Amino acid sequence: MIFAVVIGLALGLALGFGLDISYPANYSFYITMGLLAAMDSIVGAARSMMEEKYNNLIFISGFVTNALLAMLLTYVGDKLGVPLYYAAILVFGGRLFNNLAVLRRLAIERYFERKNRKNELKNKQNIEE
Amino acid sequence: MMNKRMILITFVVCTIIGLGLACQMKISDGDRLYVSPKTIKDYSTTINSEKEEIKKYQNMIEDAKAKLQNYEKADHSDGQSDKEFQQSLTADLEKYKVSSGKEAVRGAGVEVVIDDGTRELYDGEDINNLLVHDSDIIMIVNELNRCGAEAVSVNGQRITANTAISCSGYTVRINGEVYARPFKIKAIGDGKRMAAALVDPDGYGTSLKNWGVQFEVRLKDDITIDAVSKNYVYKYMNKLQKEGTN
Repeated sequence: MIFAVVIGLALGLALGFGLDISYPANYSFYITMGLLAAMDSIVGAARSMMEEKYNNLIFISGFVTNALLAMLLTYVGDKLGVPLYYAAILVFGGRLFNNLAVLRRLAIERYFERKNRKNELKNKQNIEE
Repeated sequence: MMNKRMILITFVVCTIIGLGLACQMKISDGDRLYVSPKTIKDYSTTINSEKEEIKKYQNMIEDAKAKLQNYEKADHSDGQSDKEFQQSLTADLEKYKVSSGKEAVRGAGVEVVIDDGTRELYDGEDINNLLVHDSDIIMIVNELNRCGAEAVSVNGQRITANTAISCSGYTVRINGEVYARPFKIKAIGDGKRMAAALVDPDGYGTSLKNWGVQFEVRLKDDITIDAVSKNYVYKYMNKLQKEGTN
C-alpha cells in the first residue's frame, strides 16, 4: 500500500516534470482544488483501511465527486465574485487533519496493543518458567 | 483480489496527485509563466518580420555573390574586361555617393516650411508653445524618412546617417552648423505620401498647426538637395577584420 503511494507519487512527479504539460495559469486554481480533493481522498482511504471499512467504490466515487465539486465551487465562485473555494479548502483541509489525527491514534493504539500483547506473552512465559 | 485492485487505484490516484503537483510547481516557479494570446501574437509578428528581413539579407547575399562573380570575370587581364571592371566600380562609387549624401541629388518631392507662430499668447501661456524646436524638426525628418524619403535636407544641410539635430538656444544646430527660423525642409521621394502623412489629422504637421506654429507643405516636381558640406573624418572606427577576408 505504502509502496503504491510512494511509487505513484514518484512516477507522477517524474511524468509531470519530464513531460511538457502546460496549461493556462487561470486553470491552475482548479487543478489545485482537484489536488486537494485527491489528497483528501487518499488520506480518507488510508483511514478507512485502518478501520477496515475500506470500499473501492466509495473511494473512487468520493475522489471524483469531491474533485469535481471543488472545481465547480471554484468556478461558480469566480463567476459570482464570491470566493466559494474557501469552502472546499476548509472542508478538505480540515478533513485532512482529522483523518490524519485518526490515523495517528489508530496507529498508536495498535502499537500499544502489540506491546501489551508481547508483554503479556513475556509475563506468561516468565510465570511458566 | 480486492486488495490488488485497491493498490492499483491508490497507485493511479497518487500518480495523478504527483502529476498535478509537478505541473503546479512548474507553473508557480515563474519559469513557465502563462503567456497571453496577445503576447504570442506579438511574438509571431516579430518572428515574421525577422524572417522577412532574413529573406532580404539572403537576397543581398545573392546580389553580392553575383557582383563578385562579375568582378572575377573581369579579372582576366585583357583591356576590354579591365574597362568593364572600372565601369562597374565607378557605378558602385556613384551609387554609394548618392546614398551617403556625398553627392547633390535632384528629383520630385516635398518642401516643408515651419516657422515660429505669430498669434498672440494667451494669458500666462508659455512662449515655447509657439516656437519651432529641434524636436519638431527631428519629428518631421523622421516622418519623412518613414514615408520613404530618399534624401532630406534642412535649410540646405543634408541629413545623413551621422547628422545631429540639436537645440542651441533660439537656434537649431544641424551637422554642427547653426540655423535659425524659418526652417525649410526638403525631401525627395513620394511627395504625395509624405505630404499626406504630415497633414493627416494625426500627423505631426497638424499638431504643430494646432499649437500655433506656422507649418506649410508643398509638393514640388523638382527639388535639388545639396551634398553634405561636412567632411567626415573617422578617427576611432576601423573596419572589422574578419577571418577569410583580407
